[in-house]
Amino acid sequence: MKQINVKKGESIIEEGQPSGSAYIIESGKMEVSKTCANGEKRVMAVLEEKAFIGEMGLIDGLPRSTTVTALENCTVSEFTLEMFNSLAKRNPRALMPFLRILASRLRSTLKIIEDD
Amino acid sequence: MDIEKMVLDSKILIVDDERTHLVLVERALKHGGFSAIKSTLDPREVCDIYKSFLPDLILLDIMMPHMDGFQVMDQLKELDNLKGFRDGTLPILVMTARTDPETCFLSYNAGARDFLEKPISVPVVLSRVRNLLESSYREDAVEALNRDNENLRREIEALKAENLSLKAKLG
Repeated sequence: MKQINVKKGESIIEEGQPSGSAYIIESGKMEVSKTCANGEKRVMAVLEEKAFIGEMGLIDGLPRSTTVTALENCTVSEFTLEMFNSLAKRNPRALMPFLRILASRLRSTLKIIEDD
Repeated sequence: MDIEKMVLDSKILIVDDERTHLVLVERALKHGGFSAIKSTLDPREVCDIYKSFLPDLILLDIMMPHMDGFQVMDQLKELDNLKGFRDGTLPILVMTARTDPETCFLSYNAGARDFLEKPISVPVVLSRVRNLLESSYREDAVEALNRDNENLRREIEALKAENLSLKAKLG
């Protein structure tokens, strides 16, 4: 997988931009945020090493739903749509952990709504 | 074709830096009737062992010093004589205590065929290894039969054409 360095303060994913690859954080911390209807920025999560980012775009291809910004200098590995499709075809078992990641993210989002 | 014999004759390599766990897996496999087993505590030795031993299956730990399981899989992919499964996956069963979905997904992405959760259970490791090898040999057998069928079909077509040609000559 191609490795990309992301400097502190840079965003690897920006809300509203077209979806493409997902990324896996190899080192560093990243903040996932969303702009609310009133224009306020809301931090959804802080992710660390081995966490996936941008995974929803691999499934639906819709524009990015959040912004992901490096809180420190980070390295990420790029996981392209082609790689995802090839893996799903070669070994469908691989989709189960991926679905678990999506379910876990959905639960975290529901928790945020519940806590409001 | 004696699939049971083929399964038990399979060569298995165990890679784990924890001696206790490695011995446990080795004993479990021996208890299950496997005898062609090699093991190493050092992931840096895997490629060299692979070249001489040519295992049918590798049980590979992920978290190891010097090289992790992902790096081992990357190195194995560089080998010319690596035997993979028919679906394109590597002959690797990952053993890991890290069962978070990210680690599972990355292991599959690196080419692993399946997972074993550590600490292993003897019946689970035996059934997983046996099922994996058995299904692989059955798939190979089906493929060989399909090839034979195709060859026979071609021979029949050639004989039919020859027959027609002879009939035409005889008027």
